[in-house]
Amino acid sequence: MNEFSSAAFYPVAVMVLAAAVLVVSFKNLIYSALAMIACFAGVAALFVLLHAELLASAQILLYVGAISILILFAIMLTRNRGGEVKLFFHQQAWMAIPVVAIVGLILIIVIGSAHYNAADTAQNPGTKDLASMLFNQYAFPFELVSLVLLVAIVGAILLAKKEKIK
Amino acid sequence: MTVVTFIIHFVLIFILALGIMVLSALIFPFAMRRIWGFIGDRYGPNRVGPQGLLQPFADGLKLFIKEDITPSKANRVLFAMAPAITFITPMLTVMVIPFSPGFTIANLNVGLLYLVAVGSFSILGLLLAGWASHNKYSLLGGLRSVAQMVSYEIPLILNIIIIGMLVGSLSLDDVVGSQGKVWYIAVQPLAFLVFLIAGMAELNRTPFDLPEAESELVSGYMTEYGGLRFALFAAFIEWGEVAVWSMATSALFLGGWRGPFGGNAGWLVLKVLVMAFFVIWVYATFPRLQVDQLMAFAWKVLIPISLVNLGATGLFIILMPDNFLLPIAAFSWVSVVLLVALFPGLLRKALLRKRLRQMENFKLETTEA
Repeated sequence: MNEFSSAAFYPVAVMVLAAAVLVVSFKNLIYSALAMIACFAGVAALFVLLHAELLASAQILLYVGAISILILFAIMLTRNRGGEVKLFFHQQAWMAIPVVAIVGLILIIVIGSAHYNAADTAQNPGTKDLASMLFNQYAFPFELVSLVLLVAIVGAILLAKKEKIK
Repeated sequence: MTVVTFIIHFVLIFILALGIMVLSALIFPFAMRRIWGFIGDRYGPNRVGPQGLLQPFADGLKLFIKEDITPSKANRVLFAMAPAITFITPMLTVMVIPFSPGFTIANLNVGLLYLVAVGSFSILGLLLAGWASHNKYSLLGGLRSVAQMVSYEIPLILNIIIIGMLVGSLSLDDVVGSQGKVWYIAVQPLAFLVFLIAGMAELNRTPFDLPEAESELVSGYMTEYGGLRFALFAAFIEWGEVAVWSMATSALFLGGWRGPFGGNAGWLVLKVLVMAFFVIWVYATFPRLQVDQLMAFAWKVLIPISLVNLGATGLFIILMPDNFLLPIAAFSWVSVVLLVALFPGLLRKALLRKRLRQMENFKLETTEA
């Protein structure tokens, strides 16, 4: 991390956290989805600051470009527009506090106790190394994941397909 | 990099990207109307200034002094935000384009991926524009554009991957750098063809301009926009995207800034103008696709072709790691010739079969009822 990256980290981190809070506090679902996009984009910016351009591009392509658009699409097709919606997590806000506290505690303990090798973080694996790792060392889990996706696609087509007239 | 140099770089890059948008908004809509006029054996706008050259300024002034209307039921914040989000997309894409030898704003090692990734912002903008307008035509236009762009993004990505495989790198600088001997349009005409078609669909250009099909949807997602905001959509964004897309296509398939007498940015500009002319030419020539045929064409024609091409390219690269360009070129050219020869007949048969099936189903339904 050079001077600029460390200076830029805090504003971006604050933006990500603020957007995350807005996702659950907006009453309009569309605004929530937009705040979520801001959150995802902020995470992509963090990846860029760490010189992980591949991860950043994948983050934007998948989360901003695919998942968020799908969510927006679903909201626009199913909800009455304009009406403020009471979300179920608005009713359970008090319950959320202990859960968040516990998860946060676990994360702090785990991340705090992990030992990062300085050489590992400095050495940024390029796209080529990542690809050869995926297709050699981790070929089996990689194929397994793609199988899961394939099953999901087949299932989605089955659900969406109109029944044929007999 | 200190914060000060960052700000200076940011401002310079911003001016360059904005300049490209403004220039394309000034040149292309006017060029389009004149070329349409030529193709349709009419004059086109030729009254304002010599040969009508001042027409874009007259149009701009007219749109500028119009009242800025926001529909009373529209969502004001999103209505204003949507054009801005869409406007960012081509400006962001400019970042990875190699303009001339040694001048790329950001030589990302994942440039090809970045090219596709930032395109998603424009989808977001169109969807929001359609929704925020509170108008059924706008919403339908927005939804159509999203469905179309998401579908056609897949063949686009697959063909970008093919180029990445030929180069062995995802950096656009390397893509242009490796085309010293031969442009990739000669090696992979099949990929170029599919990329061209899918690209026109991504740009929402005719014959894929269903999101703004004026005979069905008024103007689609931009129906409620007027004045300067309409100018943003109809001139700056649409044609800025055409310019940037032409730059990307040139870098991927046409050798980017390469050309005879030493490569420089002039060749890139020339290629962009040729590509833009092609877009306008197609615009004036082809009718619009039907909405059900549009999706079927992406999923049942373009994606299978791209997948086969991808597999074949990979196979040749593995089998002949030292000299794979020639067999790939042979495969690609043969497939293009076969496709051009056979596709119209096959398509006609498939459509006929579908029509027959529909008629049978209709008969069954009516007899049951």
